[in-house]
Amino acid sequence: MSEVTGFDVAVIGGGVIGTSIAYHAAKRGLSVGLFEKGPLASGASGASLGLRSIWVWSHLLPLESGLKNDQRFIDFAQETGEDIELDTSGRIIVANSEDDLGYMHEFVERLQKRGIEIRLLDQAEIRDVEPNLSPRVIGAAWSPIGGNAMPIKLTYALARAARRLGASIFTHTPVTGIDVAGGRAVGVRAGAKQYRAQWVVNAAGAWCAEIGQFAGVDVPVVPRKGQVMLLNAPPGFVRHGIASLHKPGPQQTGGTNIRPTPHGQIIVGGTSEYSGFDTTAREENARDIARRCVDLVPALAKLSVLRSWAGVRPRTSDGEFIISGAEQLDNFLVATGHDFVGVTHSLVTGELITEMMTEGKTSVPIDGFRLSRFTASKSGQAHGAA
Amino acid sequence: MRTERVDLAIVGAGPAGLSAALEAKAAGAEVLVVDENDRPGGQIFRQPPRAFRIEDRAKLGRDHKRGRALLDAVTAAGIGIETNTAVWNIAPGHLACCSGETSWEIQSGAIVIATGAYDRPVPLPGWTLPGVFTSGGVQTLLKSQRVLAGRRVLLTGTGPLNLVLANQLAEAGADVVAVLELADPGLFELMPMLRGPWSLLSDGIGYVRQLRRRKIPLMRGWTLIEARGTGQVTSAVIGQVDRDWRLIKGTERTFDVDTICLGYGLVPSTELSRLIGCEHRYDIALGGWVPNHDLYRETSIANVFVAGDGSGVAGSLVAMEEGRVAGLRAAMRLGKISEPVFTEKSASSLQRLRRLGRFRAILDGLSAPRPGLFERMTDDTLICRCEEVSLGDCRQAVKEGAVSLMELKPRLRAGMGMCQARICGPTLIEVLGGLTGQAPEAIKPFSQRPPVKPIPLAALLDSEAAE
Amino acid sequence: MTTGSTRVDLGIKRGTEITITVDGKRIVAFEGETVAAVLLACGQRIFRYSAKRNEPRSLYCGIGVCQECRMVIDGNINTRACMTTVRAGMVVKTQHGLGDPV
Repeated sequence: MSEVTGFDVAVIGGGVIGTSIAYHAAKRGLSVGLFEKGPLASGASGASLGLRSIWVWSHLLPLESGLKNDQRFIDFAQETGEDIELDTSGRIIVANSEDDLGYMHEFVERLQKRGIEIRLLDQAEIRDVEPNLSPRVIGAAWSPIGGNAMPIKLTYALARAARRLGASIFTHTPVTGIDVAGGRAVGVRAGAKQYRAQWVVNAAGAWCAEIGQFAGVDVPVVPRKGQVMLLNAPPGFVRHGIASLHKPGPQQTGGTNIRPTPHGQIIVGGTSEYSGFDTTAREENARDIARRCVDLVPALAKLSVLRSWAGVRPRTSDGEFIISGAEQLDNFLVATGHDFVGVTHSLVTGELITEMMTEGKTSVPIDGFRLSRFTASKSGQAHGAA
Repeated sequence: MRTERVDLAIVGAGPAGLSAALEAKAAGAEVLVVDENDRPGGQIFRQPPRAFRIEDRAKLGRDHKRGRALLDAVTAAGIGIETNTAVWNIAPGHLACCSGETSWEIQSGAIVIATGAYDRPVPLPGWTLPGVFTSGGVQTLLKSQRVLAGRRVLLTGTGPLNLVLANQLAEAGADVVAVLELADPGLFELMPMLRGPWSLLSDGIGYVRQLRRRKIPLMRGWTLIEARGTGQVTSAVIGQVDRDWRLIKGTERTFDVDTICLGYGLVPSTELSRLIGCEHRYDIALGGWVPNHDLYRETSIANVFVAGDGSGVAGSLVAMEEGRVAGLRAAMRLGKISEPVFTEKSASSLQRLRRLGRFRAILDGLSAPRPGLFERMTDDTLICRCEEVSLGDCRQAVKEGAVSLMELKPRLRAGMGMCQARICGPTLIEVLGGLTGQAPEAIKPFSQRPPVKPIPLAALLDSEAAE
Repeated sequence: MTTGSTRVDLGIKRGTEITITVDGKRIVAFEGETVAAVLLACGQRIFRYSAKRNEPRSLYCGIGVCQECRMVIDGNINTRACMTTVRAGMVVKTQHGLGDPV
């Protein structure tokens, strides 16, 4: 094997985001080295439920049509011939309280105004579309957009595709330093070697702060732990990914997700806590998830739990992404903060970061995702429980 | 939710767990034993169901008799045993239990993990055919349920179990076609010593003599190559092996059988000891990954002890001595007895263990898997039975750069099925090691997460309202 | 031995005779027996068909570890036949793959 000493792009982090960046950059002809401290998808990507949301982006940006994002996944799977267990059966969102139902109406209207295909279902339709939903579910909406993908397979697929395009993927290779000179990042140190790079991309998820420090760049993400459980089920028990929708509020830390896999299993979740990088699966969380998902689909109680695990999502204080350059360094990019919508935004993030490197700008304005927004309001960060 | 607070919680009501319970109780500790089965006894002392009436104990065999002595002592001592209970999560001082659809917990000062072992899975062509069973499974069926798994039986593998089982099957009326034994012919009669002192040497020779009397061929240096049949097994292809258990081409023969017993030694059940975070080491002679412990069975986690086959396969007599030491040591650590009293009470067990350990050291190489064992598979042979992942699938993943079990798992689904990686794990460690040039000990086992056994979701729905 | 079955009543007498249903057929069983023992005693070895290869599977480890013997018992999928004691009127079905589609 020849001694590789330099890349156009050094990507730090081997989850869905990092591998997507590696793939998209390699596709544009850039030489890429990706460095991951463990096996691929060992962070949030390895613990994720694998949901692909209906809506793409956030309140800081105009919502992109989810259809376009669906197409990104379909195209990727087709172009690369990779099986990522892509499910395009759409999503069902449910409400089981009057407050939440009110919010759902408002939410559906808002999305419809933006041209996103989603509609409310009447009671008869609800039972028809998902017979196992609880009678306590008083409202539901369905969109053909979104669905699921298997996040670990997606990560490996992106890495394989990147490799085929010439990228070098280094797993079990922690980055131990980033060399900086004259306002630029000049390379990374990893696995007792030094690699020169024209661009350095920090896509290390919940570990972005630590990686940022190597370059003297402050990246304020914190690990937000989420736990899920795996249940065994006959096919068709639950036909779509189901998410509970809740009126946003100070108590609200996310809804309940029930998502079928193609292998006769159902993944249910999630939870939210801030306990550093601990990923112990806790009994209290398991009980909480059990209660909430049985509330939505009572028949789940008949199934058995095979496994429960947790991962840490990268979360920023305002809950929005960071897809940005850094003020201190010309060529240091940060792509993180995806929190619970990493899979959904994995491909588009790869595209955008690649545009920043090859064109110096992005095809959609992403000012809302600048890293500098945190230095602007540095006093009294209150990030933590939403 | 129901909480039981005791001094010592013991997982597993086999010889090790029950021995630990007896000693700890006698030393003044409050003890609670839990076991997933309907009745205590573990595997070797497995009892017939309560609903069966025992009419002639002598016909139930020597192990039943030894087991009765232990079980009667446990009853006499008033030791609490919760059966039909799976431990699904564990932390120092805490066990999450599930009985049916009810989850409850134990809080204890100390824990003894005595979870036993299970038959080593040995993938080979046709091993998933109905009629191909583990020797342990066939013996349990016969011993406890009094049912013959089949009529025309071939036993293959290595170890004392097959010798015993072949005789038991013949006595029960089965036609035992042959016993194929992998281990070095010269020494294998000594294997029953794994179960005890020299006096049992006569047992081993006795089993061999019985086979000869029954005209059951004991074919040393032979093994099963393939199980054949449609819908169930109807024939076995066998062949001779060299000292590394590798097939000698051209020696193949075929037997007509309807039942094959795979008896290749045991693998310790270490799910709980790994989940709680004990340090482990890889020792193939003991069955694979086993928890580290000091002379007194305490692991790297204070007040967590291990005993019996679950900490390294060594048979029931060793298990009982280890259980006694663990129970006494736990009692001492809990302040129930002083160190001098511990030393006095544990002396004879420790001495016996030393003696048995010497024999084991001699015999360790005998039944420990040799390289040829993992070369039975073809690319089409399944390694993960639950998710139907073959050797060929694993080879492909390694070609694409997988070097760890955690990298195989999500891509192939190996280890993601109902058995929670118990069946594929031991083989994958060896196979992955072979394919990537890593020693098996370099390959970390699948990470252990709760629940350790599948539990009904309903069990997690216990209302907290009563708090 | 009970005629036609591979039961071996050496040293024991089984519990009361009961009936269970296996794939729609009524089968004789005895209290205390496991579903696996009943099926193997009367020669039914196939307990399920695997999901991917649709291959017949039966008991393997016999002690509740391998989950190979999983069947649909009283409406519950993935129930281990070797760890389930029969009761009168129990309904046992061969499990096909992941369980019949809902």
